[in-house]
Amino acid sequence: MSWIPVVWSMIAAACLTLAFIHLSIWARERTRLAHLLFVILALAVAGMAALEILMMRSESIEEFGRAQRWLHVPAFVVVVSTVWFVRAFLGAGRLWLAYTVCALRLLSLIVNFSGGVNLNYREITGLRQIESWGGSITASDGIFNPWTRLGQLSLLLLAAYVVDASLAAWRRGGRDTRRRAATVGGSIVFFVLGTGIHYGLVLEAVVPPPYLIAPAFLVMVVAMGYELSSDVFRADRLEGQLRISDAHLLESEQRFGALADAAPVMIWMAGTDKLCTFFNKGWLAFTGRTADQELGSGWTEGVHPVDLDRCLRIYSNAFNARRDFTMEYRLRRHDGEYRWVLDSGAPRVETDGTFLGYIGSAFDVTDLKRGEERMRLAVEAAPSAMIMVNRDGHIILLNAQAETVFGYAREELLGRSIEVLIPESIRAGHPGHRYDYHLAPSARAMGAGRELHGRRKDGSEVPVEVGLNPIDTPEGMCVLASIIDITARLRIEAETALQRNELAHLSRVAMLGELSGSLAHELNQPLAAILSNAQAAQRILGRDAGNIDEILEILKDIVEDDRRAGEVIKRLRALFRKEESRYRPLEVNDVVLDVLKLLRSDLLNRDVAVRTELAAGLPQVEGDPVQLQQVLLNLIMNGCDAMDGAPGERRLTLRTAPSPRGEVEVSVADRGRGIPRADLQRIFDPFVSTKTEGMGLGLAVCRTIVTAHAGRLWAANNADRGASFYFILPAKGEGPDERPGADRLSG
Amino acid sequence: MSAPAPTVYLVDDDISVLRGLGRLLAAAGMKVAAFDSSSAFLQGFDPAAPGCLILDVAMPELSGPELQQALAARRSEMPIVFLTGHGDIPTSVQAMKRGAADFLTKPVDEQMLLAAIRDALEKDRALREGREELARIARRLASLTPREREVLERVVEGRLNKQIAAELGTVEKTIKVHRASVMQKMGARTLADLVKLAGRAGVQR
Repeated sequence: MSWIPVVWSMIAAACLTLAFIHLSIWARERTRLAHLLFVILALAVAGMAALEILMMRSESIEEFGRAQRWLHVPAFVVVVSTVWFVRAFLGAGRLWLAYTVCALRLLSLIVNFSGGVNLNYREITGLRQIESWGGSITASDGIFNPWTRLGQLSLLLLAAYVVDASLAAWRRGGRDTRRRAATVGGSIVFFVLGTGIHYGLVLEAVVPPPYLIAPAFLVMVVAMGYELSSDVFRADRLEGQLRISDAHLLESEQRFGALADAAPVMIWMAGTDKLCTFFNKGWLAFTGRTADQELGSGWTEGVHPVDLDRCLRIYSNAFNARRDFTMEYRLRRHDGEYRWVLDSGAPRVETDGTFLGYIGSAFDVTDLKRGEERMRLAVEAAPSAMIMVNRDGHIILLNAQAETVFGYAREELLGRSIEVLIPESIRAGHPGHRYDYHLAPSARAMGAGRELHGRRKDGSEVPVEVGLNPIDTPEGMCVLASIIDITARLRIEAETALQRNELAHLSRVAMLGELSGSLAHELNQPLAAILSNAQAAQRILGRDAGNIDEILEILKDIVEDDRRAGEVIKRLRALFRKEESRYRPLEVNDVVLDVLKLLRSDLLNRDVAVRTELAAGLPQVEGDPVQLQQVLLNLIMNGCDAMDGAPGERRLTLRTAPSPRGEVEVSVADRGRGIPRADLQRIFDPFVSTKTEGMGLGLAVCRTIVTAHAGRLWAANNADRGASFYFILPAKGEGPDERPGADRLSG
Repeated sequence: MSAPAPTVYLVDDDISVLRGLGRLLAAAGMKVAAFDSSSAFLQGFDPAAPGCLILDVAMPELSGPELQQALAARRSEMPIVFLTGHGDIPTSVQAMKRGAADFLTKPVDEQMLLAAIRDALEKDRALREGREELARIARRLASLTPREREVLERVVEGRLNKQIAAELGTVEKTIKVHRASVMQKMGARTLADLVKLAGRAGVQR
């Protein structure tokens, strides 16, 4: 007797055993569809083994044909269950191919039972006994049924399907998946194709029987079983871990829930289908509705009808694009009042990129919006142009004044970059300034003393003064700029400066008029010397042409005196001239000495002694020498006037010294009657004079000049006698740079 | 009269003016003494020597007018020509009132200056002569006897010899002798001369 029935029976038994094992696994965990499919597959293979035994032991043609016909039932089951096993186990495979394979196999089964002997034979012509595996088995001869090709085609497609699925799983998966794809896919393809071809060859009597379907499929089943079992072990291991992580998950879910409920904002979550799956307590407390009412699309019932369409459009668009969104809408509160809420949502995504839905938060911004509205109204009512700019430098708010100043209509500017209002020459640098401002935002004037210009729509420039205020808004820090068109002011300032210059000049000329006698003296001295020298020379030459040495000496003196006269005239001309003031670095001591030279005769005439205490090494100051001379002239002459008719010594002390703050202090101290306490301030006012003949402009002009030099001028009574006038000038480079040109005096 | 050559004193705090004027006057043949301050002048000048002073108005310490007063206090009658860079009227009036010889403004032309100096020197000379004559008269007056002085006083009053004799309790003849002696001692040739001399000397009863 052949070994075949024994071996085939053992195959069937093995298959049954495997089927039983995996059935028990499946029974415990019904979700494991692959196990059920494997059970069916294994049972079918067992059936095939049994039918093959029947075929090999059949004694009549009918018996053989019937067995072969029934063989196609388990074959069908094997194919179909293999298809779905692959899908369940590898999680891959083209669905249409799966259905095609199943359909073809079903068609084969129908053909198998509808005509001829079976799918393989039209007619079995005879049986013969052949020796195989140490015994005789039945082999058949007959007319080949071409429909067999249909079955073979289905196997071919099955192989293709499995290859495709395995490749897909291979490409997608990690190390485990790849091994699985290789083992399961490889064995299925190998044995399905192997048995198919072998079966065909036996049918066409190219190869002798026995059919090797059952053993081949057994190997396949074992391979699949091995993989399934290792899956089970792995699943067990994973289950342990899973239990732990489940606990974690539960905990974190609980924590999230607690957190969400405790959060002062309204929180919602939505699934991948856009329907809401969660609302926190904050939300429910706000709307005063239950979770069941709100879940799904229930929440939309609370949205103000006017806002609903816009709201849903934003939500839906963002959802489809998986983008973050922010929207404002009115939501009905539990008391029925519609409140503005700001709702922001973001997609929830697993670490592996799987989209889970959305999570969002909303909060009541009604008060904020009211504040915004109030601010908008305030901005609109402001007397100056106001422009609010967001972090990106885009204009988000402006008032009617801003339209007027810049010549743009509101809608032309909204959303545009603030840089359109900056003159082209400095536009490139402006974003940098904006960036710096955001680094250290504070309410301050822009440009720190520089002259600022804005650019109008027509391209012209308008002088402006700009104040900047950082403002925190829900969209981040914005900057509110208040812009004042200072065209008119600059013009008035210029006119005022001009008038002041005129006044300064007039008062200087008036003062020089008072001094004219002394000044003439200063000029006449050298002229007298020159004349005398020249006439002496004439006499000397007329008498004795030989004394050339004396003549040379005389000429030298003449040149010297002429130069001296020229100096006096130059100094006078500077004082008489009326022109733009020129600031330059100068030594205060030089100014003092120059003035003393001018006043020398006057001081002599008035019998006033001058003592100078000039500090050495003083810093230079930045100033107009003529104007500073004017101030000193004025103070010295005032000092002289103060001593007229006063008893005691007539002495002026001129002192220069560094101030404690590094400035230069100049003082003129007299020994006169002093200044009544009540007048100490008043004397600097215009048209206030303590003298009977004074116009009362001298000190007012002096103070204007000193102030234009960024300095200070004041008066104080001396401890013993008389009064002192002091002025302080900032050292060059130390003073405030923002001395606007318009404030400078000239004349 | 062979008096020493007069000195022209220059006082000006402006050295270059001082030098220029000095040169000019020297070239004009004058004897010049220059001082750059009033105090230096007060120390260095010779009140007895003839001369005049060319004085700047505005100077530190002692100004021109102040020096004028100081000289007056010392009974110096040296003629002063003021020179000023800018002559203001009050100053010049004051100076002239106090006896200034002239008041010139700088720059001054040599003709004007030399003329002023000449005048001043002439004035100085005249002053000095006047002073000398007075001294001479005083010396002569001093040589009279008391009786002769009494007679002189009465003669100058225009009394007749007879009247004088009666007044003095003597005879007309005696008076005639005294009168002749007075005429001779006083160096008067005529009665008019005598009256003039007595008037100069301020003789009165």
